[in-house]
Amino acid sequence: MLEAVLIPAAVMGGLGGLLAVVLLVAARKFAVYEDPLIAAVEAALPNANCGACGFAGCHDFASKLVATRDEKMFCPPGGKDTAAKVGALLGLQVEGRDPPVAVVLCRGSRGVANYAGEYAGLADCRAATLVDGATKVCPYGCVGLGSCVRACKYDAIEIRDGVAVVLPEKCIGDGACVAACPRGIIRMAPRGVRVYVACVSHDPGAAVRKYCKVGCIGCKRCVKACTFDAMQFDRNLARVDHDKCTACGACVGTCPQKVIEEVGLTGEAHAKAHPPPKEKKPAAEPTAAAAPPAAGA
Amino acid sequence: MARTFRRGGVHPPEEKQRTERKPIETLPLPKRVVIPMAQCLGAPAEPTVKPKDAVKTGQRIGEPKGFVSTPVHASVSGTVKKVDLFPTAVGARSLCVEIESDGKDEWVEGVDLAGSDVDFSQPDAFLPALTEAGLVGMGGAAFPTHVKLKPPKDAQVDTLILNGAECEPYLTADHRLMVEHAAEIATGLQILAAVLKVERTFVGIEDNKPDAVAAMKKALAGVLGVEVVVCRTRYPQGAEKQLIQSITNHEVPPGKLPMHVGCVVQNVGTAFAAFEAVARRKPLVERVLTVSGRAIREPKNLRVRVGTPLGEIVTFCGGTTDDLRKLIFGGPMMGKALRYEDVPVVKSTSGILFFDRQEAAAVQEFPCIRCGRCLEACPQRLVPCDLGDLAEHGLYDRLADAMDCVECDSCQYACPAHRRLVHLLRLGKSEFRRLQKKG
Amino acid sequence: MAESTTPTADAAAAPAKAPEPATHELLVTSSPHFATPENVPRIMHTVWLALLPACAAAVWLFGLDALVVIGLTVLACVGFEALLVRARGRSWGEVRRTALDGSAIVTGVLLALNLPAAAPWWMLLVGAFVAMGLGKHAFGGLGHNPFNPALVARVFLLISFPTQMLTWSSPVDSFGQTTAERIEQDKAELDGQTYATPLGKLKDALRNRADPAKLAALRAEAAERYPLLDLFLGRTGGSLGETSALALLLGAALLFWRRILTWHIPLTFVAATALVTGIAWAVNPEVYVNPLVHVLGGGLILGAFFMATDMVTSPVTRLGMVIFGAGGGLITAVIRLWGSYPEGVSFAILIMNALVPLIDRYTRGRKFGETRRAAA
Repeated sequence: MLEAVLIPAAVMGGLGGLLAVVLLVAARKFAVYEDPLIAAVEAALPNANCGACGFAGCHDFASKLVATRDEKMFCPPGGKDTAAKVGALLGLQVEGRDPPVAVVLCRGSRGVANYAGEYAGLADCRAATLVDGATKVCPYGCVGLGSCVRACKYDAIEIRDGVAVVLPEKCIGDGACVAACPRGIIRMAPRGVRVYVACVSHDPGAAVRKYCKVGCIGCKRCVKACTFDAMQFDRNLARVDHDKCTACGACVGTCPQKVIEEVGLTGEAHAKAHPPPKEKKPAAEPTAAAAPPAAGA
Repeated sequence: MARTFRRGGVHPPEEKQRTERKPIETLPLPKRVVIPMAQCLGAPAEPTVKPKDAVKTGQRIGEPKGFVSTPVHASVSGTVKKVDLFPTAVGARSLCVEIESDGKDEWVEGVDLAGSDVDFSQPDAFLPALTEAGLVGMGGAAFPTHVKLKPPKDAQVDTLILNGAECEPYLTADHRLMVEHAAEIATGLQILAAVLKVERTFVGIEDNKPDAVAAMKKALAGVLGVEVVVCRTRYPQGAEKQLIQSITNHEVPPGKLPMHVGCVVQNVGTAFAAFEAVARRKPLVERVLTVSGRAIREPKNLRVRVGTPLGEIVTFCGGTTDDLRKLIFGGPMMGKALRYEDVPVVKSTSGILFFDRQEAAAVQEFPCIRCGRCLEACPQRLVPCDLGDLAEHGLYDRLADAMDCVECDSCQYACPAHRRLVHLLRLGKSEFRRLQKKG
Repeated sequence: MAESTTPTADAAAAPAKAPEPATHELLVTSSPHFATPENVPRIMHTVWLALLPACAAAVWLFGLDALVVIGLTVLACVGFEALLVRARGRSWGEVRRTALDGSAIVTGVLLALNLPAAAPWWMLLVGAFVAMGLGKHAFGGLGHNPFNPALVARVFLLISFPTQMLTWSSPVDSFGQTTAERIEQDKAELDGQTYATPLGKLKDALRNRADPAKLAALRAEAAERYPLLDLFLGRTGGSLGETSALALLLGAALLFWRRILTWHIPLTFVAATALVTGIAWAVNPEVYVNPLVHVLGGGLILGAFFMATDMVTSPVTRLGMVIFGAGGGLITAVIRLWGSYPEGVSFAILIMNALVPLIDRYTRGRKFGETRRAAA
């Protein structure tokens, strides 16, 4: 009776032990040596494997960083924290920046932008632009069919009323939406307090007014209002230079189309950005903007 | 016996009865023209005029940029109003020269509108004349003709084929051109053959145009080395590669061009323009097109100046009905649907179709039932249902085969599930190219 | 609001002409702007209409019970399809469109034609559910299933309820007796055995190695009771659809005329079966039956013309279809001659269904202009 238990136990135990030895030997013999630093660096990374750094995943970034010790390599979603940790591990001064956030430079939703025609094709922005099927009259604005939504793995962007809107708390800054947009209206901006011109139309003002209530008409009031030379102007369109912008709020209040978006402004800046509505006196100019109403002919 | 390509193709209703017997009418001079600088495949031209300049008809207003580019000429005389971005059939914003006509239609020096003599003893003078005239493929592709007529030395081109198939339904412009101007086309053919230095020429015409066949045969009666070939009416008989197979039995290999099987194909309209360029020193500023569809009151075959806004054409054709639902530049198989009604005609516009609600009716889409009709229809012998699936699921890197697609649209026409195969293929090809560029 | 301003002098040239808003709401789609009038519902509805002669023959031969079986199965299939599409989270509009596109009706009719007239109502419901659920919607609905749904259900029922599935009734020449009554009558005639189809009886005898004399007697009996004409017209036992080859072929003619059917699958299927059984018969006529019995009896005509030709589960290339048909015919013959089941068509088709993606891949053929078949 005892043999009935002992023999199988011995056989299975022996087999198990033998296999364990084989595995042990294999683990030693076929082990791939990897610098333990790589694992340490990788642990300090966000491990989202998003590819925003330009490398094939977090492990690849870590390996290349340990190999090259290149201080310019940067992990956008990791931002300053990760840069600091990684720098400490390797004794480098890794450039730390806050992860950028995506911004959609268009607010032409169904209520404020004009549409013409009807499109019946693949519900994809790239597909629609191939056949000139985007129904918004403005040829620069958001197509609204959601290629960016499908590209984002973090549900950080959605279509509301025909225009794409970023959810900054979910955005990790990997830029997938930027690549997906066929009109290039999504850009990366620094996180935190900021202003930006939410329009990309290069059409002159008269044309823009005909098709959108919140489009940039190229009046240049914001350019004049900015005391930091941070508002660029090119072909009827204003654009914020984030390296110079101090988010003082001056430009926001002067824009007659209310195209300039502000995020996170407080106190005096907020007041500048949201002046009280003007009284109906033609000569009065209650805000700080100094530009006279009618610019040169 | 009518020849045809071996596999594939579909036979949509021809719908040519509206205009095939109507002689070409000339549209009265437009009040203004908007001439795009991008009128051919390749680089757009650069404008050489500015607002307030006076121009004459046929005067150069756009310089070609590089080899694969053509000059652009004013199609009316008058004053340049603007050089700016306008909505065109190519895209919502395209650089154009807007000219306000002075009504006089004064041509530049050297143009002889009544000329008909061609000196065949000086064939080397032909190519410069064709290049200067800004000739492009008039069948719709708008490939610069002077590039096609100058194949690389190792190509060994020995055959010229004139494409008179006009396989697209509704369109009858080439048909009428052959019936009414066979002599000029015949001369144009000889000019092109002289440039290419070929001795074998064919004219391919579908068998639904017996009068055009007769006219061309008569015009070419004394000319050596030319054969008028009657081809079976089957779409896409007029597609280059298919026409070459129908006439010469050669199949252009995937990824290669007709010249690799020794052929060059030109549209009959291009041959006509070649004649005008050499005999009349006339630049390409006008073309014949078909206006048709149920939502236009008077369908016609029209000769129009390049840059004519659509509005003038619509008025001349009796206006549109209230039922207009779709506006198409080109034919119903490969043409482009437009959102705006005020776009200008360009060198490659072969037809303008006004579809009413019934003609434009959207069809219910179903899932693929694996019936196999799409691959029966594909003249390039691809498997459109599978390629469409790959594109639909975003597997663009597996779409190398899709690059052989000529976008003839036969597959979607044949599909009983009405899947948007062409749109998927287009998207897939575009994404594949993007991936290739990224490297 | 401040007064509107004009662009300053240093802006680009005077404003471009803004596009006039279209006066009509123009539709933009990719080309082509033309579509063939053929569509999926038209094809599906034509298929089940083509099966009506066979249904009529079934009712004529087996009575009102046949009508109930067909009607209930079709209703159940359509009903379950609607339920399953809704369960997959689709809108009611899509539910309606899908349930009425005709494919469920086709599956229902085909399944019914594979069942005996005496099939109990609950078995029909189970079959319909398996066909729609397991055979079709588990894979994503129309176009996505690899196996013929009617056959999936039939095989499921065959394995789960063999007795009910193999209880064949004999045909009656007019409406009147119910199936149950008929079965009782036949049982009395045959000492309480289930009334087998001609093939079944022969099969049993062969397997049990009956002596040659008995075999000869059975064969004579078969020949006498089931002359080929009867097999052709349908005056024999069997499932609702496998009996009248004439009715089936009439329907198939309609499908050929409408170009929904081509010769590639049916002809090769029948030819392969006839060839293999013919060879066997030629080699040993004592043991094997005339190939025409195989062709006209059993579900071969139904299978070759209506089940193997299901577009979704058959190859997409013409050469592939030929291989599919030949393979199916071959396997049918093998099962009939040497397998344990008297009926091989269902299994043969299901086996070939599994091979379809492979067949499609390797029969793609060369592209236009290619000189050699490129590596796959």
